[in-house]
Amino acid sequence: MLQLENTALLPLLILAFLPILLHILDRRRARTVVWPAIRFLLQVDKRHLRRLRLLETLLIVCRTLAILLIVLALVRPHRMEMASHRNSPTGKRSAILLFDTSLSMAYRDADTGVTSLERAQDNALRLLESFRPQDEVLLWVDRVATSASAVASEAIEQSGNDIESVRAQVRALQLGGPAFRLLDALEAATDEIASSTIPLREVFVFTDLVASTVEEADHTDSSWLRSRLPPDVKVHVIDCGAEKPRNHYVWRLATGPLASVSDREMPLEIGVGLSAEPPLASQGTEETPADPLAVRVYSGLEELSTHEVSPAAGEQRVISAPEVVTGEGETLLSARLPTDGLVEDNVAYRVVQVDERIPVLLVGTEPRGLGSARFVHLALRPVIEDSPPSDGVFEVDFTETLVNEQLERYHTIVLCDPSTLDQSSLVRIEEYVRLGGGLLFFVGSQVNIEQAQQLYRGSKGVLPARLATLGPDLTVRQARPRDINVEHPALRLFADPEQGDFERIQVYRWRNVVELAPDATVLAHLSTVPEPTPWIVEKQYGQGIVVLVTTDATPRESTLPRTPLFLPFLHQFGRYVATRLPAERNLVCGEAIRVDVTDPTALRDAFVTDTEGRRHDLELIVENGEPRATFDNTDRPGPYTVHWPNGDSTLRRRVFAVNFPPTESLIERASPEVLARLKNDLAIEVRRSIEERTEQTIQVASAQHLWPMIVVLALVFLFTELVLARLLARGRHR
Amino acid sequence: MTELSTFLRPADVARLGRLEIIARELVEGFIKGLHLSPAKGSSTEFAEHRPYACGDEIRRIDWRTFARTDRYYLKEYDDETNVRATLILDSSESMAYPQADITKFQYAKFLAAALGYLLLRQRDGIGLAVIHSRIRHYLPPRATAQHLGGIFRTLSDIEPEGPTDLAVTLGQIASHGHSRNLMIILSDFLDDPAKILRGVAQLRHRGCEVIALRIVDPSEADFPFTNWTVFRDPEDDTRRLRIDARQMREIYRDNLAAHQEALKKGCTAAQIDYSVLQTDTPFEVGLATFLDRRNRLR
Repeated sequence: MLQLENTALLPLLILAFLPILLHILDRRRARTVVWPAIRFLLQVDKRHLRRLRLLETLLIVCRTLAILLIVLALVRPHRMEMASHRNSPTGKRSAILLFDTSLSMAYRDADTGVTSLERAQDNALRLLESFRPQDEVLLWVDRVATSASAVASEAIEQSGNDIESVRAQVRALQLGGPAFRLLDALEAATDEIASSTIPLREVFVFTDLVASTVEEADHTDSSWLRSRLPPDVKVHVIDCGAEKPRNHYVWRLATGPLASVSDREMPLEIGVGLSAEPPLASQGTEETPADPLAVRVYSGLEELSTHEVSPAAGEQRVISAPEVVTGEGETLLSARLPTDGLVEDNVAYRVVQVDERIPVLLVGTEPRGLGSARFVHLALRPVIEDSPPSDGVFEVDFTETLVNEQLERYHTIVLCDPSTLDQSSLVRIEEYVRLGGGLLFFVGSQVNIEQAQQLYRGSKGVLPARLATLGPDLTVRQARPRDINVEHPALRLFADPEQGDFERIQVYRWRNVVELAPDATVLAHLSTVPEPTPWIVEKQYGQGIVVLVTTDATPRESTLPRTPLFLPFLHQFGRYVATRLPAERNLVCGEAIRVDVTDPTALRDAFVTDTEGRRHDLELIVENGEPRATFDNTDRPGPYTVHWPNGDSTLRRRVFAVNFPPTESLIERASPEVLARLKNDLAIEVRRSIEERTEQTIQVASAQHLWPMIVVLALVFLFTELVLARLLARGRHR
Repeated sequence: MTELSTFLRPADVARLGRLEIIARELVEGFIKGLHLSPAKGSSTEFAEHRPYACGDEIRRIDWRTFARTDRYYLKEYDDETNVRATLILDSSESMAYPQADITKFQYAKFLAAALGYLLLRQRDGIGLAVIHSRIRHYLPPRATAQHLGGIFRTLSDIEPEGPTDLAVTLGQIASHGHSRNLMIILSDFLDDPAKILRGVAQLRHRGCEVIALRIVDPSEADFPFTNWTVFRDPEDDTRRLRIDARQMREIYRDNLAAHQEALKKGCTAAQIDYSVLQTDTPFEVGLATFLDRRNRLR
């Protein structure tokens, strides 16, 4: 079968008619000359004239064929040899074995008892038996794992043409690659296979061919890939996935955004899903109702509760499971389902920080006075007359100055309209928030606003807004809260007006916001005229959170302290800003573990243990000028523990929860439409085993390039043309 | 002299005046000059005695010889006589080539005028025959300036037309003209060499000295065409040929050379002077060359 590489050049074939066209034009353009000596022309023998015409015709034919062949050579035709490779003793093969090592390949088929990866390895090893020592085999395994949805755009592992070495590497393949995208992976392999000079070129893709492997949006990519893929390169996709996968999984385990307290109910959300029925198998089969799934919640090894959930096929459900966790410090929570074919996604982990009490430091005037600190203190530690304080969530300390306080002891600092804030206090507050502390700042009329403004520092500081100074800007008129963001975790409680209607609060005095920091978020406004002014403003600063309230916490400026809303308001924001555990402690497979480093020399003694307890070293990197220790090989889901020396020969443990990428749990089979499109667009045949492909290989041809032969022919014609032209020009052809 | 100045510049005349045209053979003439006459006449140089024949003039009898021998003898002398020359000008259509610059016919006319003037200065008689397939004009040789003026007028008026037939026309001239004349043929001789030689032979048979001057355009010798061209015969519009000229150049040149060679050989055999003059050569140079050659041959 003849195939052309540069079909775009085919229109140039029309150039072959050029000699004929020029000949006709030449004849038509012949001018008439009166020639007295015409007798010397007419004396020419008629047979000679006939010979002359014949030579001329041959000349035109030569030119036409030469051009035709040159254009044909540019088009680069090649003939596909249909002979069997085995029957071709001199034939060499060049093949790329492209492996899907994404986590979905861990699915173990209940019928056969083998995982998709094992099936892929088995097929690959059987394929390698058909290769000979002179053949060239490259093993491509994608291990780029920047995120769960990372594309397979870079091949890391490559093997040379040592078949034994390839075989060994196939056997040693491990799961942990990013989400596998067939077209992206083929694109990465295209350049490599195109550069091979071996005629018989093939790409073998071993994948479970789940729906995410080839998505609907890939249609344009396939057209583009088709234009890049050399036409003689045959792509074989070996479908190693289970025929009827049925997978249930935990795709979410989340606590609320508020700091957790020991022995107090912790809001927990558990997402459970069930893969859709396989499209291939759905034909002619009946939908079976899903059995209830038991979700067990653990805190460490202690089982907290069991919940039942019955998601339908293809459905993802979220259940709320408030749990009471006892203990103090970092706790590893997990939600587990009964095991199925894909064990790794039957459990989800989450590291949470649980405190016995939340330590809070109030900064302001004497709480026994009539300042904001009194009302805040009462809200955080309610006392009944002549009775000791109740056993609350917060452990509250008070100070008028920060000079002698150890701020790192506290999870939250509440600035209760403090009248003085010296320079060193401002610096300490900013450092405290940057390292993860929470700050709640009531800015009333007592605050030395010029000192407080230093926390704004042109939007670079900890303060989320620049406020008006005292004077005309501090208005005395009535306003009400409006535009309250009830989606915010600290204000969600007030979403239902029945629970408390914020808009009924009256505000008498407030500080106008002159300028908002770009990264600040307004959580509530005041209904001022001509336009609303921000009332509650939030900003993330470093690892900490700052919430600014533009009134104080006394009844002088608003009715809030005298309403039942004040206590939950303070508790919610107090716990919200006290949340200390950064998101980096809960990761997805492939994401790197990163730890802040204060003493790089301690890295020698630091290590990380993986899900199976194996020790690994950490690497030192620098991010934004800050040294950090990192560990990249988080291929398997589970808890990873970083052990860091404390400086007193003890090790501080820090647990990281690495979860199964939710996309890899969706192991629904690619639809027949998608497979048909692969076949139509890219001539990719999907087969269930390598044996099916081997039969195809016998039919697969190697490309025999014809252009060198065509060029030689063109040169022969050009030479003949040259000789004929000289003969004719000289008239020496008798 | 108006007509004369039309064809020849004074410088041309002065240059030609240094040359002498000397006939290779004696011709009959009326006026004494540099030429030796083959006829015996009343000259001063004794040649021989011959017996008196009926019809001879009685006054030419040598009475002294009669006194000694009692027989009647006539005394004959070798006289210096003038040449009677006829310019035979080919005016066929083929002489009108090329259209631009000077045509072969114009060149031939200049040459004929120069020869006529030269011959008249030597007191030779000069005549003109304009021919193509027949004789278009014929002026018998005279040695007067008025006659030369008539020749010039005829040359001025004549334009090339019609086909060539040298064999017929030269035969007609041979039968009409005087014997032992000098015949100067100005033509491109684009005819069958055998036919041309047959016509020239008739002139020779009449005892005429024949000078054949072939007028050729340089392009006729070079054949400079390189593209496809339609060649048309000026004397026969039906004869056309569409060819790639580049391919025919060598054949053409070969055929032309063969034609020239045949003419040259035939002329040499018939003791005819044959010369080729190209129209890009100043005609007086060609003429001078010719006269030099004539001088050497004598």
